[in-house]
Amino acid sequence: MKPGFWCAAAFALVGTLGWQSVNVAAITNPPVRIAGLDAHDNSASASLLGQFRTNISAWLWVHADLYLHNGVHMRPITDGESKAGVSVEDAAKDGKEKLHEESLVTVVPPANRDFRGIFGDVERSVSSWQDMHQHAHNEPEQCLPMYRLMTWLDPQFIEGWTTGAMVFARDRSPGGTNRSMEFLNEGLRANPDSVDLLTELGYMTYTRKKAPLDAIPWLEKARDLGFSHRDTLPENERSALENTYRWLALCYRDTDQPNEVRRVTTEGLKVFSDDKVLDSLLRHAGEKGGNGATVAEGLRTGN
Amino acid sequence: MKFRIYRALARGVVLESIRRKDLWVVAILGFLIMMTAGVLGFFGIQGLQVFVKDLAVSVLGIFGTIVAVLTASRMIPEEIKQRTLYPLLARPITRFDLLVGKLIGATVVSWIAFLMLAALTALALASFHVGFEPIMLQYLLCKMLGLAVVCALSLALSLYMTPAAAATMSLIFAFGSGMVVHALTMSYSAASGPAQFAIKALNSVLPQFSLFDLGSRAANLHWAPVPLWVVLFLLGYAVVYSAAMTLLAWTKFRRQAL
Repeated sequence: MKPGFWCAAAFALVGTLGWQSVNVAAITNPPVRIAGLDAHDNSASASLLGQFRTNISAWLWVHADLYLHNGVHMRPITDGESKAGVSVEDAAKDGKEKLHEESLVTVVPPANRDFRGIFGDVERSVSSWQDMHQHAHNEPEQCLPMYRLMTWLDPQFIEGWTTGAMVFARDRSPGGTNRSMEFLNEGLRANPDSVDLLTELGYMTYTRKKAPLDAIPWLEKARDLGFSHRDTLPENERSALENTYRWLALCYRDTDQPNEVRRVTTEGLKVFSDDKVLDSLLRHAGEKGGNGATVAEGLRTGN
Repeated sequence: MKFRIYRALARGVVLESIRRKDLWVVAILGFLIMMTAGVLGFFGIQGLQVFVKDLAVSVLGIFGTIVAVLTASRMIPEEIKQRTLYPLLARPITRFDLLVGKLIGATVVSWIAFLMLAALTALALASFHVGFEPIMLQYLLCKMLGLAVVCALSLALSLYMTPAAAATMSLIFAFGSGMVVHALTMSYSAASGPAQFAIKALNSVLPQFSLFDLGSRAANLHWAPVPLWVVLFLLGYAVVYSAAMTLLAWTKFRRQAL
């Protein structure tokens, strides 16, 4: 037989196998992630493809943050640096949503903290470095295609959906809010059991659309899911659950349902016993005319 | 006189590289870049210009470094293995001349490969109307200086270890030294007196490849070109470090039994 025949036969065989293997799909992270390494245990190739997609998505995530800082590499400040009095290089208050935690410093240190002398001076000249105290961000809209790309690659990457939605929401107009909620809904279709996404939807409905009654169903679903999985929730979902209780209690307070506030805060305190906001909301729920505004402010500032 | 020797030796390295089809590999890599760009084009790159530029300079840096390392780390060991070193040394050239000529040749090969890749990448980006700012020229110049240092390091290591080990170590230095330097910078203030001395010593001898990489400035928006003194410093550093590596290689090679 001629080699061409065998090549054609091999292609036909592979094509037939491929045509019929409808159940073979890449395995990516589960909708509700467990802490630690995810197990992709069905097949090695599917596992590799899934990890590849997840890694590319995480790589895009890191780069999106980098582009927001116009290429300036930043890192969290260390405990030693905090104790030594190194000041964090926080973002300027521009009245928009915060894009990151305010405890970052540049990877390449300024001259007064760099022992390298001229090497340090040269690196500050050749790399995209600048003093980032009170820094501004590039327009986050520039990074939206990256959030689109990373969530397309790994639809189970919850932080991609929530941060992308936050970027949309920096536009405080009704159009920005709607785009943000559309993005979150898209994420929810891929991750119907995500406490974080449901909470974000409730948060947007409550704070932007000023519609606590419409926010309650989102938050109740998040609470229900989170409470039933409270012992196995990963860190980000657990953190979202804490916010779920807070926002839900505020929604019930604003709609004058003190019994519901008590129910929600009591359950929340079973899971997050040291949460001062929930504790305060519970106390105020029992007092007619309690100072809800102070509590809400405490919640917004995270104190 | 020496110039003619170096030119002849360097020409030999370039011809050998063409004969071994190394530059064809570069062309194939360039083709892959074009294909990748085509995939990005399929999804649309509106808003992804910075990302695409960043990807382009990263790919250029990585492939350029790999070509430099692979070319420089196998030159002398292969000359010895194939016994082509004897007729070379039978001519009126010293072993030091041989090392310098080979180093120049490896540097030229890595520059050709780098510029080929840069041209193909620029073509791919131009097709999407993604342009670079003038700092891109400085990026190319400084990266070429950095490739010369990479070649010198690989050449020196190839005389102290096997070609595979030399290539591996060179790649570790090329891609890891920046991370090590940043880790040293972070830990310096918390270190004790002797440890600070060790950190300074380590930092001074480590090859500072990251200084030659202007990629992040070239990819991101509105960064000004670097001052002239920085480019001159990098030129001086490249010459001094390459000379030190060549001397290190010569220290071993001049007494090596062939």
